[in-house]
Amino acid sequence: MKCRQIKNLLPSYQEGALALRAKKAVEAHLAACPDCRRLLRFLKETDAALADFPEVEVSRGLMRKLYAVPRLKAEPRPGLLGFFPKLIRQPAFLPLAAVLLAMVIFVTNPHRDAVLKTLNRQVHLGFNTVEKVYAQAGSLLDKLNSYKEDALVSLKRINPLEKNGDK
Amino acid sequence: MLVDSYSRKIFNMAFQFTGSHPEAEDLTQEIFMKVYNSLGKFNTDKNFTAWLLTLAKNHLIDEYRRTKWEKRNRDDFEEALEREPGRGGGVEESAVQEENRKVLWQGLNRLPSEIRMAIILKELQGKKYDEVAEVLHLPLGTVKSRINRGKLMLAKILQERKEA
Repeated sequence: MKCRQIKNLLPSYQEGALALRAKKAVEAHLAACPDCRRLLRFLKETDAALADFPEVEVSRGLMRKLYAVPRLKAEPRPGLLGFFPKLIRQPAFLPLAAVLLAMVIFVTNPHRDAVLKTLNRQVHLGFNTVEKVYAQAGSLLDKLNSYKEDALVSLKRINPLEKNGDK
Repeated sequence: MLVDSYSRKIFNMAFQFTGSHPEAEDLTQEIFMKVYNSLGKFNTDKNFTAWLLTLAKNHLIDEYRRTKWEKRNRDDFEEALEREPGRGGGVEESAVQEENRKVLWQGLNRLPSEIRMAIILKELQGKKYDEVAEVLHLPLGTVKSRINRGKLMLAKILQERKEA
């Protein structure tokens, strides 16, 4: 067997977990290969060092936190309710909430047809008023234009330069 | 109580895996939160310790993949020893053994996470092969192969360091 194959067998050989035939093959190779013998020595040192590896004590602070875990679990988890305070702080929250509330009141109102009719009438009245104002504004503009033309004609008449035919 | 029985085991597993004391404390808390949240899902016919260790292992490996601890240094080995009460008093440690432990402690970071976890469970936590297989949900042969590979890698790290 080649070194690479033998090296892969060394941990099992070290544990005494190899079948007799494989064990003999490894031993024959080890007798002739200083590299693999050296690796086996380090493998033994690794096993010895890992065998009695120190364990660390849990600090009192951590123990206190761990004892508190079941209590934390019993408290309400920050789900939708935990998100609510953040939502309230949003600038768009109040206008949106007002619109939503108005919609809810409207939808749940038993006289909503009457309300809708009144609303419709008010909207039409408002629209008519706007139209009237617009028409009045148009006639006012026409009047102003005619005043402007009259004023220009009058000015031309009284212009002394134009009257004397100044060259 | 659950905390009394398992805190030391879980904390040491987290510390050996991450090599960082504060990181291990945070992870231990997170693992216990998960344990308490998942207790309802535990099948009472199964081995509770294996179930708990599997949950811990999954959390540690998930966090490792998310944050890549391998890029960070592990805590100093002496610092880790200082935290263990009574050590260095009655126990006579050979200087070679102690030096080897320091090298291997740092060397653990060079193992891929799955192999590192198998080595921790088998060699540092003292589990048997079949117990490791149960925790990792892997066939026995795969577990043995991972542990053998891990040991070889650690032995080569030790050799590199000593022959450098």
